[in-house]
Amino acid sequence: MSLATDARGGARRRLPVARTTLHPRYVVWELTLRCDHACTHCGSRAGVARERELSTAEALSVVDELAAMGTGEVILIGGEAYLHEGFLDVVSALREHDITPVMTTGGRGVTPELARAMAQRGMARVSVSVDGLEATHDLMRARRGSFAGALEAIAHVRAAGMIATANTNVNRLNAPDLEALYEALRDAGVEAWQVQITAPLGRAADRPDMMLQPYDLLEIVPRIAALKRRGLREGLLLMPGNNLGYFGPEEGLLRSQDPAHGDHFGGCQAGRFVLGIESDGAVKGCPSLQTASYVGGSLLDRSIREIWDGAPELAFARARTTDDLWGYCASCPYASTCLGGCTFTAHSVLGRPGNNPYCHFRAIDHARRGLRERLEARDAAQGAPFDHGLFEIVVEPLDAPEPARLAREALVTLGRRPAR
Amino acid sequence: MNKLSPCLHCGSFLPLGVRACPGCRRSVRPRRLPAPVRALLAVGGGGLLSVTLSACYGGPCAGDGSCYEPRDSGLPGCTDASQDLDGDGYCLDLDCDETNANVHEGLGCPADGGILDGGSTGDAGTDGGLITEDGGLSTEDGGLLTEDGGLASDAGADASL
Repeated sequence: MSLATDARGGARRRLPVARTTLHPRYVVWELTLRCDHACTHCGSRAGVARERELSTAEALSVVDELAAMGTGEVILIGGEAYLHEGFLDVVSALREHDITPVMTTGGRGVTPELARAMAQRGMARVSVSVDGLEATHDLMRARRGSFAGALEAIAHVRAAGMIATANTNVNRLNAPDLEALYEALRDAGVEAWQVQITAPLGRAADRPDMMLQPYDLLEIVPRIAALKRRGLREGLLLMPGNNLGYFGPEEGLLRSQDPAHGDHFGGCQAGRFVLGIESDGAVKGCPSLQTASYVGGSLLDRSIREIWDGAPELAFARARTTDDLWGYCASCPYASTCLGGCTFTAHSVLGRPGNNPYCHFRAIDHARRGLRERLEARDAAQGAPFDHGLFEIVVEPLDAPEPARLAREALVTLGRRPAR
Repeated sequence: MNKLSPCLHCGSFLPLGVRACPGCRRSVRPRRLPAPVRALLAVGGGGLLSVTLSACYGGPCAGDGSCYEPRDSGLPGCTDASQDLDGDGYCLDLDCDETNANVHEGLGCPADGGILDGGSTGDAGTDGGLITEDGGLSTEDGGLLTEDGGLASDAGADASL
């Protein structure tokens, strides 16, 4: 089945002409924070449900609001979205409103029965999180059997007639696995693979040694680009997440579904075409943004329209200019296009957006001058969902001695304990 | 957002208004032909033009003031107008920018011999006319929106999973 083909009808195709006025075209919706994993890198520190989560009736009302605002696609996440009692009803409601329902999941609870039910309700695609080969994945997700469960979920999704995709958070633990993981996903029948870097959010912020160093991009981005080329030949479309890049020589290849398109990163889309909803009704411009800084209001108090139109917390990317950039990003030749890259990633490192050390061009530019930027962990995170600690940027010679590589198990153990 | 065009040399994207690619540092203008080839073409073209002009207007200049005189006659001069388009006295094979009389070998060409844009033209089209103002960009969403309904939108969706 083609990615451009509707999972139910097979023939229906959405118009390629997109509304160009700002609206929440893509909504990433955390239905519940309840989860059957407790992953070591989880940005939302998922596991237990939030104290007050939207009921099924409230969630269905949100679907009505999204339809009125022109939403085209809703990505259901968690925790695990299927652990919300109204999960399937929400899928049905989205489809009835002509909104494409898709899902991101760890896959552990995606049984053949659930997969069939999801397909019947109109789920179009399911992205299963696979973070390495078995040993790595299970270590990172802190559960033996998780990798096997993820691959089984992919098989169940495909058997039910939905499109199976995958996503991977790249960090120092799993980076060595990338090529072998590509082959595993290809052989499992995955049609598209999203690769992004692990940002130090939530539990990942407690494990700074697991994070990539900015200069790791010098090696990792070309490897990912090589996998993209391979995938184009072998039928597995690799797409980078919005925090992987930017503007190295591989940017056009990485960012384009068809390399001839020459797409590139165009700045943070939070609050422009993207909206995030937390399970308690908190609304942000992007699901991964720091809750403490970017929640514009709660759906328990206000409508999505009111929050979208009126909350300054959602409007930052609409008015962002190069004047908002600082550090290296302020003088970067790509500043006016890139505008500092991914907001939540930059914020998770330095405590505010506008200067993002996780940038391929920036790493290349430093390397040309014989330098590299290394992140040194400073303040710990608080211990809440989507929180962050702080790092300092140390500029040092490119060939500075690399700190001794830690054992794999050490990478996932607490490196700095959250404040609470 | 304006869509950027790729560098012809390395494929990196070219920010609007730059004279050299941030990726490979080379000029964003199209590469000029090597000097020997340009000279050969100039000689051939010049010869052809000379024959044509001679047929129409008579023979070569006899020093009577009616012929083309290079503006910078104090330097090794180019006496063939067909090879000195900007009239600076330097023929094609010696002039690193034949569109600008202020740039030629006598004033010091760019270090790369003209491959790098020395800023000679001061033109809006630093890309040599290869880059359109908007590059044909149609995606207001910065490439996030995709024809298939938004595969790329999964970005960030899994940060919590």
